[in-house]
Amino acid sequence: MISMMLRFTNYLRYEGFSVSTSALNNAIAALEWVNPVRRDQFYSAMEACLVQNIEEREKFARFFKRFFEDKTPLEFEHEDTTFRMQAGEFADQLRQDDDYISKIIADYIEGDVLKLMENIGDKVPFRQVENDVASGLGMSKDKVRKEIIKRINLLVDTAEDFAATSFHMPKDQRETLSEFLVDRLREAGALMKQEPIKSHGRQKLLPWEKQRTISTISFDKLTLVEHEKVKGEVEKIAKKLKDALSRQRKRSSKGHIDIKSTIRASMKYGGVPFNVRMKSPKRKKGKIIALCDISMSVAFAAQFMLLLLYRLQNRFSKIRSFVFIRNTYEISHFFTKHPLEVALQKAVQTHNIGMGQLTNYASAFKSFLENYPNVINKDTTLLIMGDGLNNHNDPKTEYLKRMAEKAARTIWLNPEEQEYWYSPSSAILDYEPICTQMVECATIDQLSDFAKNLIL
Amino acid sequence: MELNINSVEDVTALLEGQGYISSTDISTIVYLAIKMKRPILVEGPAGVGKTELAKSLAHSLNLELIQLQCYEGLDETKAIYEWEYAKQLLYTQILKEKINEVVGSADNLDESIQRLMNLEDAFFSDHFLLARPLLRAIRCDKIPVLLIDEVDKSDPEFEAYLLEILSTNEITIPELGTQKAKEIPVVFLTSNNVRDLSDALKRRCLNLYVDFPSPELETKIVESKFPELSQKLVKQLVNAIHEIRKLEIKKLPSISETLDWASALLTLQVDEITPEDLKKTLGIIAKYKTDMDQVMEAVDKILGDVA
Repeated sequence: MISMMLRFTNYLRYEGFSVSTSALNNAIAALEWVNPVRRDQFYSAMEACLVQNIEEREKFARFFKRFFEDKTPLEFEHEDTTFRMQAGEFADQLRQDDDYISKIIADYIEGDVLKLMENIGDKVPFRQVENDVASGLGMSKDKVRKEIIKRINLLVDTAEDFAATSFHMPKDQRETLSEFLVDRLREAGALMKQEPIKSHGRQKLLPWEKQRTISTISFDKLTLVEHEKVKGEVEKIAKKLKDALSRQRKRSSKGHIDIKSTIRASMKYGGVPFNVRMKSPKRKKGKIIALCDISMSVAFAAQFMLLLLYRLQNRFSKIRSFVFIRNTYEISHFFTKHPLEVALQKAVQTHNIGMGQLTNYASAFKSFLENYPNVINKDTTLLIMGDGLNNHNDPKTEYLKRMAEKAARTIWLNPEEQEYWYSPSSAILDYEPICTQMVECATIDQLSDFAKNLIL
Repeated sequence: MELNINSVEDVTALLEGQGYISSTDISTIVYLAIKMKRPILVEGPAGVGKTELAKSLAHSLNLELIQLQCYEGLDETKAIYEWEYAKQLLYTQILKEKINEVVGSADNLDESIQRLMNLEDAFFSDHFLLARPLLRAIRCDKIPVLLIDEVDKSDPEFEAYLLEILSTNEITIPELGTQKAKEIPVVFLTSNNVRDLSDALKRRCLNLYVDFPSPELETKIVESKFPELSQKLVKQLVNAIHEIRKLEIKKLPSISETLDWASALLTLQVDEITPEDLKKTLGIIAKYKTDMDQVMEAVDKILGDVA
């Protein structure tokens, strides 16, 4: 059983799962108390010992199923030695064929799980193997797949014959052996027939991307799966930011030490200041005004920024969100009433925002000043999210200047990587000196850093 | 001392005896934690019964429950121990004259100090030590259940204190030395995932994630708490709650809200939930105005899925 655990953890590590030695020790110790045959208990125990992050639970469930259930190893199901020897005998006969396909199937029957995982499924090595086999046999990948399925179909009859002629076994065991071998072959066949799910986005990481983490990938380079994960991360950032803000508020509410009162209070302890008295400070009335470019060029980042604002909006009344392409519209009231997707949809429909138009920052800022003249005051942090691509329009910096003068500070979040900021069609060069800070915000890490440093 | 639990089923039965309907996951991990003498880190959304699990286990085994509620700014003086300075000061004042007797006959300052140092231990003794939950758990004569609630709300620095206790079952008090646990407590740490806990802490625990229960389990929970409710109503109620959980609302109703709602419906003597009943009792399941609006918008779907 310990060797099985080692193989399982090796498999998990191979899949990019981090399993520490102490976690493995825990899992092995847990085996003393749970019976692996009770699959539900065994699963719970393994999950409790090996999974440290909630996010990895789903992945673990998949790997566990693939390792222990898609292919039930012999040592689990059949304790009987004769049975195992006979099944092994069949596998050995297959190996004598001396070709790769037979070996894969033989290993599969005998339950060499780790090897099986490397060879069958959606892992990269499988593609490698397929290619090798394909090149070795001089056939296309599809043809090899078909060849394997054909071979399995032929082997079903052979397996039945083999079991039926194993006369040194009692009849019922012969039947079980036949059933076992046929089941295994059919399972292998079913795995071979599995087609990858077709999707518009990439579902899997490529081998050279295996080490990449979602926190450092630009928003525009995310795969579909990663996109969902990043959404989850943004939710977390919002939660943390909310937490940090309330902490900050709480800390500031403590104020600074009130010496007179502290000395007075210390009198009853013979002058020892046990109770330190604090003066409550004035409450700061910080607020955020967020302007978000939602044109196509930044759509990938805008959705995460809006999600962050949406989550904060629901927690702080002092955040007002606006979107713009050519004109600026407030969307805060949609945010307070509807879920994000609906809110955005309604905002776009109600204001007839011309999606697909080219951004014009000057006209967007102008319309903001005209339509919402009293929104910004000296306590306001003005957040602008956009790539600054002004499509060769006049940047008319005076509008942004007027906005920045009114606000306590102006922070520009640029979802473009810094090296691409100063292209000819970009107005960043004109707008940068007006802003207090211009921050690159192309990855989840950068968004998280920005959120952490945002002090109201 | 060993607790008399011999199988996962024993745990399930014990918890059920307290009205806590547990899943295989929960029972298995609690069983392992008891046998392996490991703390359990219970994570999951608010209101799914994380704290209740520890309480139910303590009650079912008739063990003392020692609870430490974590919050931001919690430090060792509130969690582990504190010297009672005010009491020490008071004793010093009372004993002022006695001190004179002790040092009065001393020839010089050095000798006076030496004599006072001999008495120092009297002031840093158990007499002036105020044991907080963690130290109390370590000093218990009988196995206690230690519940460290909402550990994610505490500061990251506080985790460092927990590490020593969780891995070695010891607490070091510089003035008194290391205090070893008389009986290793059954430790539950709960977290709502407000912040990520350190890997070092996670590594020392068995991890249990308690999610919203499946409809079957939730039906069982409601039935066990409110046997008076008709099967039809329980089914409608559980279905409605599961439909509401599919909505994108700010606060998803948890088991505690399901039970509150069941209790309200029982009080109102409702046989079948109508949109009016839902509206009347909406405040129990939805906690924000916007959530309430969304629930009412989807009322047909919520109440219409009853077979």
